[in-house]
Amino acid sequence: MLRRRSVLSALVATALAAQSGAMRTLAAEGATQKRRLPWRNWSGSQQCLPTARVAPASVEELQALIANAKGVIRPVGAGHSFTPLVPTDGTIVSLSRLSGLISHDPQTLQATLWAGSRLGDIGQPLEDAGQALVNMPDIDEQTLAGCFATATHGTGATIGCMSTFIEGLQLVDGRGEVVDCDANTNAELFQAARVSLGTLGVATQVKLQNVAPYRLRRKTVWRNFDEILDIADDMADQHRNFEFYYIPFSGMGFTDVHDLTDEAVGSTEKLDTNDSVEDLKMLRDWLQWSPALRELILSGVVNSLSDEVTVEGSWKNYASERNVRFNEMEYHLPRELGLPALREIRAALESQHHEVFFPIEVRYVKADDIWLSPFYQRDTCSIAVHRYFEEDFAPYFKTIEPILRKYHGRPHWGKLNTLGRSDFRKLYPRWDDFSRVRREFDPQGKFLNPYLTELFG
Amino acid sequence: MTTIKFFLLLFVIALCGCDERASGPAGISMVQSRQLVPANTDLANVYNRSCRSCHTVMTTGAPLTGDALAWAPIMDKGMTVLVDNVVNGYGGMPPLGLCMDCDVDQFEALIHFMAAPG
Repeated sequence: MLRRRSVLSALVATALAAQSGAMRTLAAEGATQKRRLPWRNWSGSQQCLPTARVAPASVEELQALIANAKGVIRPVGAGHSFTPLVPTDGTIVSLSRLSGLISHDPQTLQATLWAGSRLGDIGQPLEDAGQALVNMPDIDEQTLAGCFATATHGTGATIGCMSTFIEGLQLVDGRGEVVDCDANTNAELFQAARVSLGTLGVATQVKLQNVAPYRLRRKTVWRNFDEILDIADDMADQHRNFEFYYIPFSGMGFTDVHDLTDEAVGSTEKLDTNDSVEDLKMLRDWLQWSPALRELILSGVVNSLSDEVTVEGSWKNYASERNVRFNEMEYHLPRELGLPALREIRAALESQHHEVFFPIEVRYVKADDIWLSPFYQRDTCSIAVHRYFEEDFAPYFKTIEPILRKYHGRPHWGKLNTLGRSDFRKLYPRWDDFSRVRREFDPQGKFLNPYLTELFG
Repeated sequence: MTTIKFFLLLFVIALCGCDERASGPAGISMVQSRQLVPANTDLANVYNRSCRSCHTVMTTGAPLTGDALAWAPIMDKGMTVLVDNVVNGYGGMPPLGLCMDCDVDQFEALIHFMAAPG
């Protein structure tokens, strides 16, 4: 068996080497052109060869950069968006040198942070200041600016997306001017800037409404798919954070809940999720020809897995490390339509796409009033599908997207979709208001790359 | 039925054989690795932001900073290949190693630092 896995590993290594050879051409090209390096997103599905990649060390530097820029400027966070928000042949601006906690107020539990701060880096400083984020996504590599630009979210039927935690924002607009906004000052800009795709300016500082540090008890339970559908709505209402996953071709999935606790920190033995994905891939490779046998074996293995419990400080208990890269499509559906849509997705996946092995992820998010938030005025059930980063995602996503759209889904701004300006205008009642404010603060369209020009130009 | 049992057994054995993915040679402990930081302040900032969280944790599969034993065969590939691997992403390492503004010189300096004996 080990030899068989070694053979598989060798095949994967060969494929990687082949890909790396192809990609080397791009890097080599960069080397000949004054050592210009390409930019690529996390999954590698988006790329460009920018003229410059810069990281200003101060707001003044950023102002000068924007005021004097001739071409397009695109801010970049951690590169975790799958949509073409970043690619440009102009300038890519990283906020990596504008990160960290600036100030905090123990009375209001509000904190001001540099917008380039990565989620994974602010948990400890906030805890030291007697604060914690209300919620977090399931990875913590992203920057605050990136999270807010794309309406990044965690899960929790009574908790909004990350942008709803914002009390105030500072950005440098397309004219190079520093602009502050909150609910009372530049109120329209505030409505637009909390989810803006980075098209109004480059966010520099953000004031967040936090809570006192808290501890979470996370419990993972493996269940039959039909059982999950039966209890999902109740669990979403009963637990602070609730999500579930379905493992394709297994009839099984798992529910994951987080609840406040005073229990001592500790954990049962954990399944390595990265290894698990590799195992699902291996099983797909072996048994793609027989879905029935694949389900029999997978359900047998899954049924033997134990429940997991982890008690930890909140910021250590939301995120998982994702070492297996993928491409993703996620749509946000009206909450009541999520489970019917999921049934259709499962049927389509298992009848037409035997190549798929990544789990389907389902989360819940509370409604908000932010103009370009996919959660605008509706409680939401979010459904995400994934494909391994080295495999073509298009055929699978092409099958699933019409189902998500049929159920009135709005795509995650950072995740793959095929929608254009006319589609988004129908989905977002305040689209034209956003576009008007956008033009006001970026009159020359400095923040519009080709994709964003198509949407807002 | 016998075939089904065989496949089930096969798969369970495969799951048990996962320790093939465990890290390779460890000429340095994780504690020692975590203590290493580039002397140059700018490089140290980049290292702490982009490299340290994986290259000082054995379970990530990334070679540990200061583990010259583990880095030796990697360095044999040559700096051009290694920089390309960083730029394009390699295994669990995302493109650019999460440093969106690093240039070639910085990537080379970081690789040399991590590969040097701790």
